[in-house]
Parts: sequence; structure tokens; C-alpha cells
Amino acid sequence: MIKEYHAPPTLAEALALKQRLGDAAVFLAGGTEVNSAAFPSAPAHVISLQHLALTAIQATATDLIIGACCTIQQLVDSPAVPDIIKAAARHIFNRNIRNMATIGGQLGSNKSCSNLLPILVALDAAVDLADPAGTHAIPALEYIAGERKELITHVRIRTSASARRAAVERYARTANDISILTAAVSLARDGDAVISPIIAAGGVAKHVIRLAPIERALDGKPLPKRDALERLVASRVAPIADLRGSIEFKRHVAGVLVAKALLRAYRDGGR
Amino acid sequence: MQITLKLNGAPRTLDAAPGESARDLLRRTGIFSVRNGCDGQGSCGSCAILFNRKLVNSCLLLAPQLDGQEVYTVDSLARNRTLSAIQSAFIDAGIVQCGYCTPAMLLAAHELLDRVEQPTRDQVRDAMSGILCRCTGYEQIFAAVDLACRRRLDPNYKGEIAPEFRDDLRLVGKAQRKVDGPRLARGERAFVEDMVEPGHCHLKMLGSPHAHAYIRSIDTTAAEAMPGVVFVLTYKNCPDAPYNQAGQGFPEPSPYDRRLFGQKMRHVGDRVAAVVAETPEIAAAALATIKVEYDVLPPVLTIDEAAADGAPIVHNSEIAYVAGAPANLDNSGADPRDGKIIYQFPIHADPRRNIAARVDGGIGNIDQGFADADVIHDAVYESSQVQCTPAEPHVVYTRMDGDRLVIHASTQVPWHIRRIVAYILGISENKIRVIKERVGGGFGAKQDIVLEEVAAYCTWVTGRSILFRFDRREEFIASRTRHPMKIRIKLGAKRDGRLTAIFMDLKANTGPYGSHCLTVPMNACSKSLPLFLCDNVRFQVTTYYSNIPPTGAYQGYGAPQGSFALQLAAAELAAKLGMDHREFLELNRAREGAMLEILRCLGEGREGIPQRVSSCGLGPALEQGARRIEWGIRAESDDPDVRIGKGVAIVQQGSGLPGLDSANAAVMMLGDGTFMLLSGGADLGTGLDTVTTKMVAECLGTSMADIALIAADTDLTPFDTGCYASSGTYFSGGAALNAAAAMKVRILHVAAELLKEPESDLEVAFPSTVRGKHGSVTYKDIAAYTQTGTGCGQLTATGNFVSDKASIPYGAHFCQVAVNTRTGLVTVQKYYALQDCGTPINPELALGQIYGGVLKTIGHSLWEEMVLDAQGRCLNANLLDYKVPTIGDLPDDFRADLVFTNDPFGPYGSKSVSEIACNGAAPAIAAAIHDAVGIWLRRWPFTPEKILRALGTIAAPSATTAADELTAPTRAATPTHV
Ligand SMILES: Cc1cc2nc3c(=O)[nH]c(=O)nc-3n(C[C@H](O)[C@H](O)[C@H](O)COP(=O)(O)OP(=O)(O)OC[C@H]3O[C@@H](n4cnc5c(N)ncnc54)[C@H](O)[C@@H]3O)c2cc1C
Ligand code: FES
Ligand code: FES
Repeated sequence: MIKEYHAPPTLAEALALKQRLGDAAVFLAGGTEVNSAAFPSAPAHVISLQHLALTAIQATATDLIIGACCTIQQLVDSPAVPDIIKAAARHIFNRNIRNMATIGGQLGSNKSCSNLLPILVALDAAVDLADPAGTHAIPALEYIAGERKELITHVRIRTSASARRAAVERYARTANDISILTAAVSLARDGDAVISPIIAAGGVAKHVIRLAPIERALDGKPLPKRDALERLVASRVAPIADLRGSIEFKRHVAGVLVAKALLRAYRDGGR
Repeated sequence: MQITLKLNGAPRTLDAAPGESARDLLRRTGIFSVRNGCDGQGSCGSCAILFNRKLVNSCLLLAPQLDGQEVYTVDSLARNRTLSAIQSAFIDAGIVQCGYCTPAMLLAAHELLDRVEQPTRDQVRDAMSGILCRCTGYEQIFAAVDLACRRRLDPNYKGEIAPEFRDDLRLVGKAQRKVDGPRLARGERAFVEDMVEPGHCHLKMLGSPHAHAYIRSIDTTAAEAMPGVVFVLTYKNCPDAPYNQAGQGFPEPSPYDRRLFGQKMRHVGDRVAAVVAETPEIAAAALATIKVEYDVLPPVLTIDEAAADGAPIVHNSEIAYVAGAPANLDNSGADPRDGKIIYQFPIHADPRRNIAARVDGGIGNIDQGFADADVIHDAVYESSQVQCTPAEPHVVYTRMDGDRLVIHASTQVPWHIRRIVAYILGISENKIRVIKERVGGGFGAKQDIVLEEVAAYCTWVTGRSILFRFDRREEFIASRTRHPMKIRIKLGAKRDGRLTAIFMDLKANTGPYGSHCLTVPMNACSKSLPLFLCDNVRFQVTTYYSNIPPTGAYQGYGAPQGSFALQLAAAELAAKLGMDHREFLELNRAREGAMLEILRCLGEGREGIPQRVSSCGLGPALEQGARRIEWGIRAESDDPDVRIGKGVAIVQQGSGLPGLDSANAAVMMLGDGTFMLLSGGADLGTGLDTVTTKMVAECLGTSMADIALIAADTDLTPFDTGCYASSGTYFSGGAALNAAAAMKVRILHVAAELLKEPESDLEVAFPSTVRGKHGSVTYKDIAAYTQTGTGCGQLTATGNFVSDKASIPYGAHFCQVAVNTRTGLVTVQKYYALQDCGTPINPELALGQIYGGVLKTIGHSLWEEMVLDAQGRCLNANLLDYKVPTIGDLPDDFRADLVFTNDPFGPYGSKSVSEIACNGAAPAIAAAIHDAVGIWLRRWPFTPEKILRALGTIAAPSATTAADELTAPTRAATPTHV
């Protein structure tokens, strides 16, 4: 039961509040998670990020810097955002949710089936973390894998990364379903050879993960045929069975999705 | 805390609690248009608002987040009650059905048209992507937006909204504005939840955590002692009156097999205790203090488990019969904790073997029929449990008015509620008034009386006003669902395709109580078998009790399951015969004039009435549909993984229950020659109020604006059995028309006096005039004449409608699907529903009924399924996990078409239209999947996993399904990856 609502005007005050209240408080961005009746831990305090001016999208010479409170719809609408990120953002079918949910909230809620996290990982995005001592950047993957809780102020994507060949895929039952499986890849090509691919997948582990063994197996070589790719992926992922599918089913589909994303990125750049 | 916001253009300062949702704050502020379909999960969009010009779900916002911001709700759209172009367009296009989602849809359209002048289909889809509508099937939204765009430029733009029928009639057969549309589009108070008054109490129900158990002990003392708790009700202090909740006419075919509260728990969520308290929080806190000890029994979940030797007995009750008790009735083994069962008449139940009802019958000689066959097909078809999911869950508000009990209900059956509540409370019916408010989707679930009686009893005892509203989870596990069925079909045919024998062995799972346990499975037979003209037909029906969530009526009422089995079996037989499926249907189908003898053995617990087919549009429906879908021509995909196939099914339903249903209406002439229409018909959003109003206006030569309607209020309007079994247009419409015809006779009688001409020379003429050979007189003059002290008194007339004729609506559904053999995903590319509803009274609303029914059942065919674990707990009792179709799931090309016939018996030649639309999707899609990839899927839903297994892409069907695996203890604890 939320007892107190805080809307600090500055980042410093937000951080100080969080430090003081500890686990009794959560940051509130779009609220699609925190304010949802399904949210497991009803917090006593919420600290709204509304007034922290974290909603800008800015392109520098080297980076695209996305404010953590940018909504998913802002990503879709902003001319500065690369198409591949827009494509992932559009996979969140529900416009009402896109109008509310934020990129920071995607990272903070850290769902296995997030539609946005795989592409952030595949583009090797970094997140700016703020604590009372200052801000520092870490890879998005580290934030995800470490189940970190620090306040994210910005997400950074290197311009060079978004120039890579990339593709996103999702698998869902209906248009408005939370994805059962997701995949995003980025790679470069040197002739026929795949160069330093990054493969991210959701729905196959507790969080979005990189399929590093497969990346290594593919690196520097021509991309194998689709069937071989599918088998390779299916043999290397370990999804759980739940009411949306059995293990065999999810393995198979993960193979199909990742292979499709790789082939698209490899052949036509994913666009 | 205080917040300041701009609300619908005006600055407002409001008190907000920190944890309160913006939706709750807005409702407290008198904004009723923000609704609640998912209890704040964020998945339905019915609470949408424009927040800083963006459409968001207000249940996902905290009230304090509104501080300093700008909020618009639908309440801002109508200026001085004049509808905006968007509002009028949405009503006129037929997209406002129950209206529960309408404010959200209108805001979405508003936001879209402010952003884009002429939106594309994709942009409309995107704008509406967060809004769940269970009624309309969304398709008419595209036309509504288009109409809105045009009306923004030209407010008088009419446009062609729907095809027109019956040149000989003025209003019937033409689109006319739905009479309740404006109110719903303005987002005014309309639903039960809008009627509550300050100071009312809240009722919350403690549900059983076990699917099958006895209550060993229950201690409610702490709850009773809590400040703010008004009343606690359990099996210990409730009346001992067995009844059933099915909401059927008396004497009901459903067994009286429950009390308000029982000592035996028969499903997860079964009633343990109700708490009435001053606030919902206190009620919830009080529930948590109730201590219950259970003796847990093994649950029975499937038909096979229920039928097994030595299966746990769901109702080991003491049995009694009002009439027709069998000679060998033996109650010696009954357990008093199980309570009693009373049968009004025999339904061949055997509860000690978990058999809730049985029936069999047939015509001709089935053995001879199979002996004569050249080809035989024999297979079993299964359907899983699906939920009605009305946008508005079950809700009731009860209060005392002096010494009378008033029930504001969201129901299809006001009079059955009154009868059943009177019986349980042991009071006379004249002590009770039931007012049907606008219903936010009924679909059958609101034929059953699932919470009204509890609230009514508590109000009667305590004198307090009480709101009782199911949350979405309760709606899944404690309201009503489709009976799961397992249907064996055996068909025999000659080599030329002519059917020689049909055998249907139907087993149904009624779950914990026997609501509709005889009639739903029978309807699965009676609305499927007569589609084929075959001399040798046999059916047998057995319904079992079990511990799954309760089942009951759901649009189609068994026919979707029966139709799936029989129509798919026909497709398989045609394939075996090497015959074109459509030709097979054409050869064997029902036709006008045919005598349907089989109906004699398919009455509801009594002898049925055989019917001659009075009108039948099957021929043209099959022909037009085949042409449109290019039947017989294979479609190819550019994607080598994708195979495309086409399928067809023929469908029928009934139009009410001949010999059982009865509807009544009254018409009164007012002082200025306009009319009041009092109709018993309960409109659930289907457009019934528009049907009755239009028929009366047509008959009396007036405009619809001259008819004011009061409907479905047991104090003010005459009796009607209720809106179920596709009876609305036929019965309630028929009663209104008969009342109007009687009024016309009275009008002509008075006019003859005034004009001094014989009645036979007079006729009514639009507008509101009687014309004779020499003169004419207006209704206004007639009213003045009759209502003075020298007149004959106010003109009033009543009408009743009963019938022994069941005019049968028919249809053919065609679809084209694409099956991705790698992912198992099925896309419905085309769906054409061609239906014969006689004269479509409101064509645009008739189309909406078809779109809605079809999309619901596309959902059942492909995605929807309640998943239970081994303990009978539903694992997906919410709208995020249970996938109801949204606008993104529409077939790319979706068309409903009305095939005109003029039925000799229905009012103005009409027949029913809505339920029938639910019968085609499953068999047509299954047939199309076979056409695409060569597999017969005999159990809905046709999920990707089932398809991949059937194709051999992933390991052959394992003994355990995903759901079974879930029952392993580790699994239940494992969170899903979402
Ligand atoms: C009906 C519905 C449908 C959905 N559909 C999809 C879908 O299709 N695809 C999909 O990917 N997701 C979907 N989601 C999930 C949703 O989009 C994510 O939960 C969302 O991104 C969270 O963002 P938010 O801004 O609303 O987060 P909030 O609810 O505000 O916060 C979520 C978590 O993140 C933390 N947090 C927020 N911002 C920050 C920050 N800047 N730094 C650190 N921590 C932070 C919060 O403290 C909290 O723990 C759906 C959710 C709902 C309710
Ligand atoms: S009630 Fe808000 S989205 Fe369902
Ligand atoms: S009209 Fe949309 S839910 Fe009923």
C-alpha cells in the first residue's frame, strides 16, 4: 500500500530520498509496472522521476543519448532514433502502454520478455547510473544480468553500433500478447564472414541474455544455413516450461527466431 | 494531499490519497466514463483518459501524478449534450454495443484524428491497440473513423453505413441511430457501478482455495468484531434453500443442487464466506481474519476422471424430486455435508456417478444407416474451457426502498432474479424490484445469477445498501464458462456423398454445479444435427459433475462445440470421399420446406416441437461465400514456410425457445400523441431496445423519437423470460410489435369515431396520422380527445409473444488461413460470415453482432483456454495471460454479410442473428488448417505448439501437455518469464 508519494524536483533529492528510504521506496517512471495491480511488492513510498528532466533524446557525434524517462512511444516518434530500435519498440503493440512505459522502466523491471532490452544488448548500449557520488556508465547487459537497482538517468547507444547490421524478432500468440520469446542480433560482415556478432534473446532465461557460445561459433565464418543455425540455437538455450509453452516448443521457436534475425541482419542488414 | 489539474478544460483542485489510482479519483469526482475491466492490471484500456493529450490507462497512474497536468475524458466531447462528429459517427457505424469500452474508443479516435487527418487502417489499429472490446469484433471501427473524418468536414454527412432491406418499410431494415447510443457515447451514468449512493457497503467473498473439500470448521468471530464490518454470512447462517443459478424459466431443467453457501467446496473460488463492510478495505481485511479448516478431497477435473469407477463424488447429496421421482431413489449413502439436490422433473441424473444429466434420442434406424454407408468416419472432437470475459464483470447493487428490496443488476434475466431471490429469501415477488441497468456485455454469463442473490440476502437482513462486484479473477473462476465437451461423431455416407447416418455421442463437463447441465449439451445437438438432412440420426448426451470452474450459458450455448465436432467431421468425411467439402455441404444441407423431425426429441427436458424450415438462406450464403473466397483456387504465399488453406462451415441457431419463452410489452399514448413503450426485453448492448422501438414506430407510423422506452424493470414493465437463447428480436421484439398492433387497433377505433368513417377505410400514415377516405386526424388530436373527461380514457395496449415456431437463422462461414510451418502460427487472412437473419431489423447492429461473435470464437479457436493445474486452480485468470483478441488480431479481410430472407413467422420477417455467429469459426479454421498443411486438429484451441507437434516439427505429442507439466511442484513455483 503506497503511503507516500514523492516528486522530488532534482536528481540529487531523488537520490537522497532513495538513500534514506532504502527498500521501502521505489522509483516511479511510467508506472505500468509499479502502479499495476499485478506489481508484487506494494511499496510504502514511490519516488516519481517526473520532474527530473530525463525525457530528452539527443544525438551527439558519437552517441545517441536517450533520457531514462523517454516513453516507448517517444522512441517510435523521434527522428533521431534508429529504425531498428523503433522496430523493437513497436513490438510493444499496446499504444496506451507505449504512451506510459519508459526505457528506464524497461531496464528497471528487467523482464525476460521485454521487447526493448534485446536490441539494447545487441547494440551494446550503456546506461548512466546516478548515485549521490556522481554518475558513471556501465553496459546495459551488466545492469540486466546483475539485477541492479541504481537509478538510470540515460541510455547511450554508440552511433557506430547502430550502424551495424541488426534485426529484431518476437514471438507472441496474439498481437497484444507479452512476447513469449524475443531475439535481437547485430553483426558486421567482411565478405561472407560474420564479424563479432552479438545475439541477445529473451524468454529463455530469467533475464535477457547474450548467447555467447553461439556468437563465438559464428564469428569470422560465413553464416551457416538456416536449419543448422536453428539446431545450434535450440541446443544451446534452456527455457523453462510455463503456461505459454513446453521446453521443446520454446527451444524450437528460439531457434527459429534467432536464425531468422541472424539471416535478416546478414542478408539485408535487417532493414 | 491536494492536487491541482486541468480537468476537461477547467482548473480543479482535488484531494488525492497517495496510493489511490487516478481512475478512482476521477470516479470519485463524478467522472463515470472511466471504467474498470481489469482491476488495475492495465490490460483492458477501459479506464483510458487523455493525459497531456496522450491516451493512457488511468488505473496505471497514481492520483498525485495528475498534479499540474491536463486530463480529458469523454465527458468533454459532447457540447451541451450535442454529440461530437466522432461520437455520432461511432454510434451510427454500429460500433457502440454495450458501451462499456466506448468512452475509451472515442478518446482514442479523438487523439488519432487530432494527430492525423485521414488515418490509414494501420493507424486506426495502432490508435485502438490498447482497448479491449468483447462485443463488437472491432471491424466497424474503421468505418466509424472514416465517417468521423467526413463528418468533421461536413456535420450533415450521412454516408452509407449498412445495406438496406425491405423497400416496403420505412424504418425496419435501415440503419437508425441506436437508442441508447448517445447516452453511452457521452459516458454518462449507465451501469450498475454508476448507481451506488454515498454510504453504501461493500461485499467481498472468501473463495475456497481447494477445488474439492469439506469445511471442517470455520471461525468468523474476529471478522464480525472488526469495526466497520456489518455482516458475515457463511453456510452456518444462510437459508437452507436449494436452488440453481441458471436463470431459466420455471420449472427449470437445471437441478437445485446448491445453497447460498454450502459446507462442501466444489471448485476453487467456491463460496466460503461473505463479508459486508463499510469499505472494501475493511471487507478485505475481515476476510483475511476468517479461519477455515478444510478436509481436502481429491479433485475431479476431466470428463474421464468424473466417469471413472470409484471417482470422488462431487455431489453426494440427498436427492428429491418435485415430479417424476424414480422408483429406485436411494439416499442411504448421501453425506449431509453435501446438502440436497431437488429436481423439478427427471433429467436422468445419477450424481453418485457424477452424472448431472443424460438424454438420448434419434430418428430412423441408425444401424441400417451405417450398414448402407459406403464410407464411414468416426472421430472424437474436444473443446477446452473458455470464458465469456464481458468487459464489465458481474456486478450488483442492492438497497432497501422502504420495505421493498431493490436490485440494480447487470443481467439478462430480471424476472428470474426476482423469482429466485424471492424464493431464497422466503418472501413474495412483490417485495422485490429488479432494475436492469446498461449491461457491459452479457454473452450468456449474465443469464446466470452468480452474485445477485447473496447481495440481496445481505441487504434484506441488514437493511444496508450493498455493492458486490467480481474482480477479473473471480469473473474467471466463479462466474460462467463454456462447458468443455468431448464429442464422438460417426458419420456414414454413400459414395455420392449423401449422408446415411449420423451418430453423436456427447460428453460434457458441467463443473461444480448443474447450471444448464442438460440444456447446453442438448443445444449442441439441436443446433447442429438439423443442418444435415439425414434419415437416420442418433444422439446421446451425458453431462458430468467435476471440480473445474463453473460453466453455464455462453453465446452459442453448446452449439459452438457441437458445430465444431459435426462440421469438422463432415469436412473429414468429404475428404475421405474425395469430394469437395462445399459440394458435400450443398448436397446434404437443410433447405426451405424440409421437416426437421429430429427436433421432436430435442426439447428442453420435455418433448420438442418438430419444425418445418420456414426460411433458409443457406444456398445463397454458400454460393456467395464461395465466390468471394475463390473456393477451389489454391492461394500461395511468397514465404516458403507458409502454407495457405481455405475452409468452410455451415451454421444455424434458433430464435428463442418455442413453447417456453414468453415476452410482453405495453404501449401508452401520451397527451401529445407520442408514446411510451414498456418492454420486458433486456438489452445487453445487442441493440434490442432499438429493435423494439423501431418496430413500434414502424407499426404506428411515427418516428423513433416519438417512442420513449422503458425496458427490463420488474416494477415498470411487463414480464419477459429474459434475453437468452437468441430470443430478443423474435420474442421481445414480437411482443413490442404485438402491443403496437393492438394500439393501432385502438387508435383506428377512436379515429373512426372522430372522422365518422368506417374503421376499414382508415389507415395509419406517417407522421402520426390516421387517414380515411375523406379526412384525417393526428395522434395529437386523438390523444386530446381520449384524455379529456368525456373521452374513452388514455389509449393503452399490451402485447404478448409466444410461439410454437422456431424460425431458424442460417449461415455459411468461409475463411482462409496461413499456417507457418516453422513457427506454428496461424493467421486468419480472410473471414467471410454470410448470415441469414431473415429481415435484419437494424442492419448495422446485426453486422456488429456477427463480427463480435466471429471474433470471439476465432479467439476460442486459436488462443483462448483456461489452464488449470492438477489441483484445479486456474493459472491464467487474468486478461494478460488469457488472450482475448484485440484489434491487432482481426482477419486482414473480415466481412459479415446479410443474406436476405423474409421469414413468415418472425416479427417483420426477422430471425435471430448473434449466437449463430459463434458456430462457424472453429470448424472453418480447422478445415482450412487441414487444407493448408494436411493435419486434422480435433481439439480447440489450435495453438502453435499443437500444430508443430502434429506436423512432427517438435517431438510427437508427449503424454503431458504444457498444462500438465505445470502441475509438477517445481513448476507451480516457477515464475513465468514475462
Ligand atoms: C498491459 C501491459 C502490457 C505490457 N506489454 C508489454 C510488451 O508488449 N512488451 C514489453 O516489453 N513490456 C510490456 N509491458 C511491460 C512494461 O512495458 C514495462 O514494465 C515498462 O517498460 C516499465 O516501464 P515504466 O516506465 O512503466 O516502469 P515503472 O512501472 O515506472 O517501473 C518499473 C520498474 O523499473 C524501475 N525504474 C523505472 N525507471 C527507472 C530508472 N530510470 N532507473 C532505475 N529503475 C527504474 C522502477 O523502480 C520499477 O522497479 C506491459 C505492461 C503492461 C501493464
Ligand atoms: S482498468 Fe485500467 S486498463 Fe483495465
Ligand atoms: S461495446 Fe466494447 S466491450 Fe461492449
